[in-house]
Amino acid sequence: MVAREALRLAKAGHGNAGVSVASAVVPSLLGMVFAFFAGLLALKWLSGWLESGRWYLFGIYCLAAAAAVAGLYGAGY
Amino acid sequence: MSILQVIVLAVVQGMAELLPVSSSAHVVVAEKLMGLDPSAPEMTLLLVMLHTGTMFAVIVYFWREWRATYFKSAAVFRRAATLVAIATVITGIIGEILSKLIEKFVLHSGPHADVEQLFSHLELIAPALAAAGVLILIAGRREERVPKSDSADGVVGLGVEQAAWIGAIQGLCLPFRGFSRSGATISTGMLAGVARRRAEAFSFALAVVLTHRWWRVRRFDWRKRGTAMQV
Repeated sequence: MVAREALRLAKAGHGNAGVSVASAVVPSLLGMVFAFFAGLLALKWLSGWLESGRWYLFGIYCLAAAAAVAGLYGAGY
Repeated sequence: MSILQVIVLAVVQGMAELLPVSSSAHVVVAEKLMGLDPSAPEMTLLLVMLHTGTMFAVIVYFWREWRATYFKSAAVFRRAATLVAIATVITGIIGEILSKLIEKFVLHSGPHADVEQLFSHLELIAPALAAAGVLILIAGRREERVPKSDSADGVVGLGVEQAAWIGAIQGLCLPFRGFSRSGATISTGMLAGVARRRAEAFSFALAVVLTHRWWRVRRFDWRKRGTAMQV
């Protein structure tokens, strides 16, 4: 999947494909590392709340987020 | 795209993808706030890499538990793989049927009728988020009253019927953005009597299997959101 997207990027870059791919790979790798650690943190958080009986708090967050999204829709977004 | 934008997007993606709060809404909002075009070729590569990082996190985090349960023996692995396959097939059937029904009856099978057209509709994301919230609330409150032992229901921790329920509810998450996959599947598992830790491990095993299908949908969605990318 990663290789396929890199190839698509190279094709989209036309004449400057090498430069385009190279300039995108470093930030992408950095992003992958940050996403990895953020994911680990999220899973630790999720497991902690699940095991300590605070799972319902995610439900309250979803309801609040639903209200916010509905508000955005009402505001014309 | 600046390094700071990459880091912000990585953290939002990594957290929202795995917490039961619907990653779609959070990532789309973050992209819009930072003025990023998700259909740009360099963004697509970045998003693939972010998902790869997130999926590695899932595998690393659950590896020890999966090894102790699903990979305990060949027989247990076959049992676990069968349950994952059952849940995934049911997810696919329900997700595809729902998608086709929506395309036919809601979008009226127009020339470009695809369920992905619904993904940016806030009026649909809001009730989906609310439905996930109610499901999580009910499961959380019920679990408080009737906690389930982690050692129950054999090594894998769930049966065919429970896996089928989890797969079915996961099928609803495919066409409806905002209906958190992890929140819905873990909550359904808990409501079906699966111990919360086992429900969590099974839910994320399904997530690893579903990633490919998810990517196919997301890439299609990005192209539809205005792109000149070559397929």
